[in-house]
Amino acid sequence: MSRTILIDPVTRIEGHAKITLKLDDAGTVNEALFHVTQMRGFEKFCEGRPFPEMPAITARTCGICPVSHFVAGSKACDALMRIKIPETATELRRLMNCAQIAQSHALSFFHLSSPDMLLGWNSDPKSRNIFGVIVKQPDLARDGIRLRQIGQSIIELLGGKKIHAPWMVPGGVNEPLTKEKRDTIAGWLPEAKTIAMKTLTLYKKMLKNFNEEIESFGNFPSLYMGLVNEEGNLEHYHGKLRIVDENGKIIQDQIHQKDYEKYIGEAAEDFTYMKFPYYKELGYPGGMYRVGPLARLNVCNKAGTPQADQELQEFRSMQKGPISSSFHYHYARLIEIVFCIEKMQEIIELDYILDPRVRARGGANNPQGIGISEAPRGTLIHHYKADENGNISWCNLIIATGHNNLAMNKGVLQVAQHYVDGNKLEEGMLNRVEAVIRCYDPCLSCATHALGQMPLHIQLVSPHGELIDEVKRH
Amino acid sequence: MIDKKVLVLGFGSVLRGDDSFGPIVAEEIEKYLADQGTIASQVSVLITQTLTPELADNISKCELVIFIDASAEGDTGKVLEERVQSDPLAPVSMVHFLNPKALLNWTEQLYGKQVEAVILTVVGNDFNFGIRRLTPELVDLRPLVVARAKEIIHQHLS
Repeated sequence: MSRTILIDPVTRIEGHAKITLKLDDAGTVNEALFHVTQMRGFEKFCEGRPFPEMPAITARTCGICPVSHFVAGSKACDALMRIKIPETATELRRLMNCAQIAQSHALSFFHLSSPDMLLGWNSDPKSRNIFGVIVKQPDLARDGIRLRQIGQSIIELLGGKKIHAPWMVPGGVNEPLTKEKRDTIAGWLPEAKTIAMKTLTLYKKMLKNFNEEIESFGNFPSLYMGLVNEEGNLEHYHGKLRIVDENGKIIQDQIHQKDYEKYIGEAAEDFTYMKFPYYKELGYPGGMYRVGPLARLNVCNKAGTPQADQELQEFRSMQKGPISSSFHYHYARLIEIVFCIEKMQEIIELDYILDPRVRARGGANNPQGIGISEAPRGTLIHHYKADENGNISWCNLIIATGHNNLAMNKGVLQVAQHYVDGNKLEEGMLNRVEAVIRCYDPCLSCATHALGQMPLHIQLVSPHGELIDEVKRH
Repeated sequence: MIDKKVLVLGFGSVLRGDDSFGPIVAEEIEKYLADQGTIASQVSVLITQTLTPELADNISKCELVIFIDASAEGDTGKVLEERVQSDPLAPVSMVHFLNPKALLNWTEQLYGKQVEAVILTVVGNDFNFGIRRLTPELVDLRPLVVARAKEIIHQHLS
């Protein structure tokens, strides 16, 4: 008997996004769809694997934020093992997570978004990239490179390599921190903080130039979700979930990771492979919420480190209640870089941070385990079920970018309605549509962001389904 | 990184068969340098999975960079040596990995430094999963590349 194995779609290709804008009879945009046209199937092919492999397998989802998957995956495995890991291991994982967030935010701000802000949204696309930034502000470009290098070097120092470092494991980490490594990290942090503060100061001065973008780049009321610690402060590693409404009122607090399914549902649409998480109590799509740097700063009581708290206070003075424009993801990202650097400083000064006891061991003592952490782009949920032999029987990953899917679609619609005035697409409009997506720093950017532009396909469709215009960028 | 005269940069994934050639050769050179006293103080070795923009900083601090790589295209069984220069038109599809010419361009643009560069390339046969697993042809070529890299280092420092 002959058999056929069909592989469709072909995976591990560079990702692509597509946007469709639909017009009403008056020629104005009334619907915008952001399509993610890649499907990778991690949840399926993890089935059958021994649970200790999960952090390393799921980390391969991404080359930019693998540490985040190591964190959430390891925490889910800790829960499967029903163990409490050594406190030193917790702090070491937190240390690497902070380094990861700092370097990822640096990539987003300096490499991907600063060209728009420094060179202009309507500037020549040929030079609207990091090389354009190098020409205009070489110091800033070098700072961006250096900040990211420091974050990656800390990851490498702890884990042995910059990408997919197999250091975080179920039960803790596989190697303690040495005094030499701690001193090396201590030597890098002051420079990192200087760069972060210099950039933040520059950015705050530039903000007045972006009033129109601030008004129209995903500026709408929504819920916000993020982890907070027991005091309600900013938290990226442990903590529990908090959800606040558009007025800043806390509507859910201290949601334990095991209970996430009571509050978060996932919907699917036929135009995209990315799912649409929503807050169950408000249903779909009314339960739209945002996650990530902006949301984290909107849900926390305070940051919890000195300089970041000062910056957070100034950030919040821009608006009564939560900061609602998605454009301010950039600002929030810079504040989080400062926070992560200060947090790393605190961690390496802990008197037990060099303790060699950094790993607990055990089997699959629970039928399921859930791990939640904050990735650079937002809340990351890993949920595993294992059989009696410890092999994965079911897996669900809710990725940070997914949480923002509803908000990104709404943001694209808002930008399109603001900038598209009729029946013809202009390059500047195209770039602004890209830029509103870039505010969220979606993880598909790992695969699709080119230097200063990503492959996009925008279609303008009449109310009768007729294709009026399209712009492709590869 | 302390400024050194020569940077040996072995790159590739140690999980993908012949792609681990660059890292393996770089490790051998690092071991060799450990006993070389003065020479060692003038040479640094970096091993990386992919070439990323941050490496421009490391490259800017040296006079000569020796890239060591395994390619999937070309004639097998020999060592290819190419002197390369910064190329502003080198393809840069993403900021997450670069080729040597693009990386030299980043170095020049960011730090205003033109660095001498040479790439030692072998052509691999198998890039499937296999941790540090080289095909026999590349096992045979390994000592040749190590020897040539040492020669280039000594020539530059003499």
